[in-house]
Amino acid sequence: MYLHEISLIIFQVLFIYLFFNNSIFNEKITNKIIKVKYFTNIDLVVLNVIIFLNLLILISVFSVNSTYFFYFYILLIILALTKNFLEKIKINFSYKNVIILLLFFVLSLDLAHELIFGWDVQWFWYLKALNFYQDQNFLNLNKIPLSGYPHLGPYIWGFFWKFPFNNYEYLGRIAYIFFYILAIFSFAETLKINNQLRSIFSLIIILATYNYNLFNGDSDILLFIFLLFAAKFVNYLYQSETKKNQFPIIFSLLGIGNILLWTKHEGIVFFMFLIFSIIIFNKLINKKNKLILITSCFFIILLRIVLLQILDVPVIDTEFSANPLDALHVNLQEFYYRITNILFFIFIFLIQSPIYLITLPLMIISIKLFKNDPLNRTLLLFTLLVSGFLFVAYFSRTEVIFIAKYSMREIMNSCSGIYLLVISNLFNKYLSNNKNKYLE
Amino acid sequence: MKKSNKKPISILYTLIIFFLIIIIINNNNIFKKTYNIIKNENYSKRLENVYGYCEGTSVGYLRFIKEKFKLNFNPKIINFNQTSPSDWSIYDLKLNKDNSKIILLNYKREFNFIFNKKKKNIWTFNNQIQKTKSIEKIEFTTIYNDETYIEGTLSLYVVNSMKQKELIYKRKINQIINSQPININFKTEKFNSYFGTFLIEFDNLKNDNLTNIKNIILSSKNYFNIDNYKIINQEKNCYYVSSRN
Repeated sequence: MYLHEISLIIFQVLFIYLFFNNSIFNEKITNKIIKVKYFTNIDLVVLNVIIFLNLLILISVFSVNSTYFFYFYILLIILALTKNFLEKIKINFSYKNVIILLLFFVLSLDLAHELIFGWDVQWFWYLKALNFYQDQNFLNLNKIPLSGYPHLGPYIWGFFWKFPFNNYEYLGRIAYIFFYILAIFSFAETLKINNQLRSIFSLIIILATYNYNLFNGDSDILLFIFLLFAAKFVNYLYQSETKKNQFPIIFSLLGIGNILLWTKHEGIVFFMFLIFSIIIFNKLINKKNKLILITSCFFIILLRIVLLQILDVPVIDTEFSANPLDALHVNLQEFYYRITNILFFIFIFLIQSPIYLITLPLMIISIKLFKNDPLNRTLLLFTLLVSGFLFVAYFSRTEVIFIAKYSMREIMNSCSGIYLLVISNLFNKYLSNNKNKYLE
Repeated sequence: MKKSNKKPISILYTLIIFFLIIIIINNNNIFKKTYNIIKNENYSKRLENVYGYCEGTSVGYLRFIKEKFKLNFNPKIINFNQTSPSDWSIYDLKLNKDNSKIILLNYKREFNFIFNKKKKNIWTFNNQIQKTKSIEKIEFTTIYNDETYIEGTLSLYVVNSMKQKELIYKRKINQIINSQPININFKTEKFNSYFGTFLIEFDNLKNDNLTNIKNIILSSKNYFNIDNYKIINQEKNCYYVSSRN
């Protein structure tokens, strides 16, 4: 009998759920300090995740003992819970929370059973997670292959592998499952329908996108998750009711940008594309906030470069990097070979992804129906920029089919979450035009 | 903060939600997997099911060696199958490396690469070839057992994704090819490729006996000679060895 393992999974699920539901941000603090009325309970959990992950970046880079940090954070949660209890704030546990918890447990069981790692995970991601699990410092990453790859994903894995139960490695990856479910349920709140219908929408997205391989230890799923977190806040920037106080949204977006930067290099590229598209087409953001957004983006990138240079860690690994100058020596036959292969794989991955399969035709419809809609224009520009980025594979020194086959799918899946905005935008416009009974 | 409007819960929507959760559970075989975790398979067994004991990544054998010999160092691991790295499964960042202790996974003294017929005078091998340093012999399998005499030139090429051929080995053949293997003992590093395919081509033929050749088998010696090491443990093709020094 191995009931021990099942009980560990149950306790890990409950621990992670409570860890993020009851830490820094709660209703009281939000109302008092950041004075935001539009954030929902799920937004607060997302904010807790953002704050926690940014703190993780700091403690990992400065090699702070993770045990001290863990107990400090637990103390913070206990204080928050005590304060809530004394001030008689009800613990929010709704119908939606039951579904989230149930799904979290179900998908964690799947993860615990499968155990398969991806190739890259066996090569270096696992070792990075092990580095933090075994309390080795940040500089020790230099001894592991591809030391210049961002390390946040494996740090999260290593952290929850160690805390609180210090047991099987997959207990760390269970945190990814929580972030995934949280991101989808959080995004569902952009739909102006009742909570049950939002839950149905979330379940359909999970049904369409969940696949164990996404959680095989690779950090790509984290890009999808964090960009989906960003999509929710981006949606707020296009609502006139948030216009008066956009700073908490911008703050949250920058927090996500920093997390993306330390998760995978592509993450910050997509984030910059998104921010750039928003700045150009969103008229609801004032110039000052636009300036804050763009300068802060460059600042967090610069900060990472400076930090890594001080610590003598490679900023980028050159093993698989592209060299645009190589393209000058390419003959016509090779140009044709590379371009056709890239286009072929883009097409294949587009039709294999349920999100693209639904959202891209809807995007065309949406653009036709609402030509001047700023969100449509933003997404169109974002699409153009991402499409251009996919052709980076053209300059790769590695065999183009290999790069296209094994990297492009991950890149495309990573930013697919942003396209869910097409569904919510179109759906909300349809509902408001028809003043439907489903409206909240 | 935005207050959620408390609306009565719709039974229809609840049923849909319940139905969708059941589909997610069913699609991912959650009941069966939970049963497996509870009843049959502990973590080590599941790892072994996924990565094999002494096949593929051979994580099972690595974990067995680590536990049996209580390794307090990181041994060198060489897997002779084309799989993902398996060092991770027993690696300990707190321990030092010891390259004098080696775990060999899926070890073979000799590799045979079977080339299949593609065209009238062309045979190809489409998988990766790695960890070879020579071509020892060429063997022909024929459709009919009668003696097949060939007079012509055999060339071995590695072909990259752009279909560009690079010659590895060339030899004139003027003999009965299916009576015994042709020993060549040709040392080369070029008979290794991650992305390319390999091709054997016959030219300058003086007769038309190629139709009887079914496959061509190239044999290479493993670059790692196990006889130079002391075997500490062996199970099937997996070995734990140490250098004799």
